[in-house]
Amino acid sequence: MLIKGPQEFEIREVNPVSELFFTYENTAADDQRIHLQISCEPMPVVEKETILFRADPLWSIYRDSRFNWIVLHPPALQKPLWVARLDHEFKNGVVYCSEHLKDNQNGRAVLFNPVSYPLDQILLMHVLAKIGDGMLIHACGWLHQGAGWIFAGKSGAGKSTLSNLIVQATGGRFLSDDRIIIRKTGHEFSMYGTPWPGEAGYAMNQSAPLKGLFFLEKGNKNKIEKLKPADSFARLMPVVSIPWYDRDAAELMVTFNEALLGSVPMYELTFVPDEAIVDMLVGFINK
Amino acid sequence: MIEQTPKKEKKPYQKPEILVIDLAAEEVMAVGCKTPVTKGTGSPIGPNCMIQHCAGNGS
Repeated sequence: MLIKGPQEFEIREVNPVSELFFTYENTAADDQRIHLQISCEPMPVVEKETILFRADPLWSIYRDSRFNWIVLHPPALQKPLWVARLDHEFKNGVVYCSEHLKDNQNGRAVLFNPVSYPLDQILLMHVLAKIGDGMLIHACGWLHQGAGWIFAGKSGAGKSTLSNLIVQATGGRFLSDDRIIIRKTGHEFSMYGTPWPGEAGYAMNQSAPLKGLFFLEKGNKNKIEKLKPADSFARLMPVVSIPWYDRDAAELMVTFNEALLGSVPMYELTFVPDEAIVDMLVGFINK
Repeated sequence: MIEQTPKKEKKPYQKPEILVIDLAAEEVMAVGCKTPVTKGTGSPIGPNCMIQHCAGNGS
């Protein structure tokens, strides 16, 4: 993402983790680049009948003949906090900021960066889906001896708990304890860290070749069971971010997931949250 | 000479079934809060929270 802000404001980051993911070198391939202008001009009014999807209660996406519009409207506010206008390819856009994002601190005009959660995550989901070579998964990602192991699950499945147990027992590193990006390069899949950690607070700007994916289930005994592709698919869909309202992107994402299922072994991991699960996992992975 | 391979027994017909998968937007569509919470207050840090007074935490 290449972001330009208005000169008269000092831009402040909202998410302290974001800075780990900043670069001042423009290394992204052209089709993966998003150009964003932050604007303090009056916010445009979005035609409500063009709605594609409403992620209640926070944000909505609209599409007219020229643009996609993403609107963040927290219930507590009378007007949107920001409105993002993007082309249909999500490659160029303007983010219009409301007064709520402006502040005056010690005589300096400050603008809180709107290109933070949730806008950065929404844009990433769309760009990956448009290219068709990556997706975001609700999971933690363990970097173990140079290899990547993903543990996926909904809220409360134990992602942060398991991350902490592994870190305490092995000194291991997690690229994230809540959101991981999976990308395909050639025939290989890799996992990447993200700036959206969970309760354990792990976030690293690194990647690793993906060796396996576990779906977390809390239970009364520790068990690892290899899953058939159909069972893996049913477990995968509820934990991946796919813009289902965009037919072309959704089709690319289904193809991506088929390739993932054919390349990366997937397991169900039922576990009791104590250190015994770490021994079991290390033994399983190292065998 | 032509080798004869034993005939495979046909599997009984199984009617295709539709598997319904529940998708939860609050899990994967950037709805929950991701702003660090100030310990003890239960509320997001300072005035720079993007989504103040949001519905709930998203882990």
